[in-house]
Amino acid sequence: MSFIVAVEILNFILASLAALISLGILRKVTGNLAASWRYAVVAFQILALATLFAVINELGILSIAGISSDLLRNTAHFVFIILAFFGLLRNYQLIRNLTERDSG
Amino acid sequence: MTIVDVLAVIVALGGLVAAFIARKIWLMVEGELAASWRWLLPSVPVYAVSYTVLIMHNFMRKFGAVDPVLNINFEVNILEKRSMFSMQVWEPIILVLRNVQVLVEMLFLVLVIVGLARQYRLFQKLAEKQG
Repeated sequence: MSFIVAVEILNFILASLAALISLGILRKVTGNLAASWRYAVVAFQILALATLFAVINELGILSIAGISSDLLRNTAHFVFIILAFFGLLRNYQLIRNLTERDSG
Repeated sequence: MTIVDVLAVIVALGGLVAAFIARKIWLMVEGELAASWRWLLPSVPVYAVSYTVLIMHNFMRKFGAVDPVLNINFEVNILEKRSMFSMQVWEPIILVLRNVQVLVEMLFLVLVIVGLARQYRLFQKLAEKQG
């Protein structure tokens, strides 16, 4: 097993753990805050999938169902960053509304 | 430039924009919530850096030299016995870049997990207070 494969497997475990913690937070919160954390849960699951694609690519499997594993990995990262972006944006809007209400 | 490279560039730029929003959130929150965002905030630019390294790696792999970067030849002469040694170095930077990328990605995930764990503890405390 190469160094890259070992670290990517570790990254997969860490990303899955991040998804689990986000799920834990999602269960503790309600309303608009829950909506922003729902993005985080899906985002970290997709990130775990991206690291899995990276492991598959490093192990020498260059395509899955006719699609290059490089492309699959980058697409998963692309979906992750879009979800993370909207999750952060919703969190930001929520906190901004709360601070405006406090100051107003 | 293929679709894989285009996606990689968009991901890196997306990471930088997300880092900007994370910073704005951090500036607005206080107390324990700010402490948890202090971990999540640096994680986003770290992710963007990791992806930039991956773009560099892919680019170098595609357009890098096909010949060895360095050729070292040396002759050893011990008690009239001669022997010729040669060593070739093949684009070591490409391998190093990929190792750096996975390590930076791991750093990103560690920062995220610490931040998330702190937020989880905070929300758990709030839920207990309300319940």
